[in-house]
Amino acid sequence: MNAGNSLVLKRTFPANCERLFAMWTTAELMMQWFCPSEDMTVPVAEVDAREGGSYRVVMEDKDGKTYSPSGVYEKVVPNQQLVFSWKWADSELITRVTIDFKAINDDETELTLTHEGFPETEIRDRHNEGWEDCLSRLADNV
Amino acid sequence: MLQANPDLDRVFFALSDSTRRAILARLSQGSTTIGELAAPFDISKPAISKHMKILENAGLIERKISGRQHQCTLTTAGLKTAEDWLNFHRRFWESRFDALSSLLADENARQRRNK
Repeated sequence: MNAGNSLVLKRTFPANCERLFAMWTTAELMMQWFCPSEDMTVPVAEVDAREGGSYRVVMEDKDGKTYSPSGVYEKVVPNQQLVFSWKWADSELITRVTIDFKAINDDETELTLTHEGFPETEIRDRHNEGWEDCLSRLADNV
Repeated sequence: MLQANPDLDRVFFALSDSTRRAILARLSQGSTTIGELAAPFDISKPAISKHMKILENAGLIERKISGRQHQCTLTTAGLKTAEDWLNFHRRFWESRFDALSSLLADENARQRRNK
């Protein structure tokens, strides 16, 4: 069983790396394609594509229900790679998206998207260990 | 779209640890006792128990107690939740790729016409 699973998608787009990278890192450009269907609008798209910068997109369907992913850019290598955290507003779960841009020729770029549903997060594990230590010390003292 | 799903959070938390994934890999070959499970891992029995509890809460394993033996078996409920997550996001990103692709193609066609 492959429990270390994550989602990997590859697609070749008819644009060079610079243009494709801009499509992912400029709010005005993202608003033109990030909305999942004709019936939806994107009232909010905030993108600060710098390491440590954040993004937030709000999509709204015709009934006014909103869907909103947000996160922080962990790595930004212009025209090559983007790594950002991903969290839906209605979920506690934080996942990670990595996008690699690879030039095929002057007009085409291969994009690889990796969405890790369960990344190994040392920080979170350390956080948990910290808690466990606290709890066991508490238990010792009670 | 995606609803808040505490089950999913539990499943992904359970799967985020390499020891727990190794335990699941072992269990995919058949059910076994906790003692047998702990043997290949260089960790204490209480530590293994803690991992088992997390896997159990996520619906990934089942524990049956017969006498002093805890028999552990892989269950499918938790993995189904993880699979649903992957399928949802696959559809989400593929539809985004379609939209981005046609946007770029339209722009290219416009540019060619204007030349």
